[in-house]
Amino acid sequence: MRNRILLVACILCIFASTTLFAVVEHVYGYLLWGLKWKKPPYPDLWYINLCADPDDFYATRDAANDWNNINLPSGVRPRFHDYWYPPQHVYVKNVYYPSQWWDGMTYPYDYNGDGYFEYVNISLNNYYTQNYPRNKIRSVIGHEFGHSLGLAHMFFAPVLMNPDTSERYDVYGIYKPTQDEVNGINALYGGG
Amino acid sequence: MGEKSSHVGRLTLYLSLATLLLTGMVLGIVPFLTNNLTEQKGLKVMIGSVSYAITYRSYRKAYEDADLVVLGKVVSVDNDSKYRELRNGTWVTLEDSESAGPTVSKHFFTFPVLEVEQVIKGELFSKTVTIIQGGVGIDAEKGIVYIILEDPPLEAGERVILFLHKSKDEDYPSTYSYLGPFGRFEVVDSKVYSMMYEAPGLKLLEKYGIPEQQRIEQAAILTRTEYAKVNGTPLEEFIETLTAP
Repeated sequence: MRNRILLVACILCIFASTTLFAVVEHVYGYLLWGLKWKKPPYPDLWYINLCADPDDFYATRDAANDWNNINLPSGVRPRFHDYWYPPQHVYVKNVYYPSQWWDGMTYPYDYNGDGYFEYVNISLNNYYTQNYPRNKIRSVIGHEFGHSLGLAHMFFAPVLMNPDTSERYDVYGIYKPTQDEVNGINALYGGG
Repeated sequence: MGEKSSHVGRLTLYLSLATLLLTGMVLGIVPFLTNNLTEQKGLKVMIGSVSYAITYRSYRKAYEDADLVVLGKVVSVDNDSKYRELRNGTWVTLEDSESAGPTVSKHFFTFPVLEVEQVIKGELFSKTVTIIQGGVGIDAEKGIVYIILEDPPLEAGERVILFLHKSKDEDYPSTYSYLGPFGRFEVVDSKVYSMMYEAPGLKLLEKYGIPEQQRIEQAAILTRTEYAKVNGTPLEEFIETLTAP
């Protein structure tokens, strides 16, 4: 009798986990860059928007707000503050590199080598972005803000951390953080 | 009957545990790039990450789009930097940053020079060609070298096939650029390797203390493409696939 109960319980367990797997929204996952922010300053990150191109400037502001509005509890959700006075945590600038193959670039600075960001430099390559619609620029800068929080590339998936702009935006239409990025931030700063 | 049922029960229990374990592994995370900063000869090594403006699934399409395709060996590498600013919708290069406003940015360039063995496509009227790579290179002032893993700095002695485009950079009009991992192949022992593979004996970022595996993980953009087929392809055969009508 005990064995039968055990058998039924196990079958129910398999059935439940299979059903759960089938019905939940498909999540593609996330990868981490190996660096994160200390708490504090996280969740309060001061960024300076030095984009000279107006479209790049406003797309940067919108992308920062996209990250500020992700569905996570206060303290886990990042709060990017636009502030025109150094020192900032994140610097966003326009650059102009014709004929290169990238439209956005992020360099993290961790001089101490302790695994925590000291500051992050983001460059938007205006050679490309000057011909992009606003939300496509938002997709690029949103992706770079994702790096500035500690997320790495997620290839081929319909997520913001997909590094291929033509796939991420032109095919999937993504310009804001998806549930995968939210899960990544929760793992980094929410402890789960 | 009871014993049989017990066996089935245990088997089912093990299956359940295995299912849960597998699910955990599939949904799990694999942190990589554990350290973005190492030191090399007094230089800090900064590993950046980029969003790709241009990608190719087919290297033959990339070949078609190129102005010049060459096989050659890197003989020297130079570096430079410029200050640039967007003024009234036009990008201008400044002589120095003294009169710079806050929107001025420092641009880094690397210039590998290739001694050309064979021109596979296009015309070249010299024995060497100078490549321009932007956003990577050395900031001597700060003592930092900037690297993108999927397109490591070309080093002297490296033998490569490059799909080149005439530079549109007005400051460096006689140079050529290539589209990162989509326009670069390593050649070792007359065999060709795309950037998602480790060519035998070739550790591209060893001098910076960065393992090949870390570089290859960042070239994963090539995995579901025609580039994945180029793993030790004989040189002549590879050139034939490029030039075939």
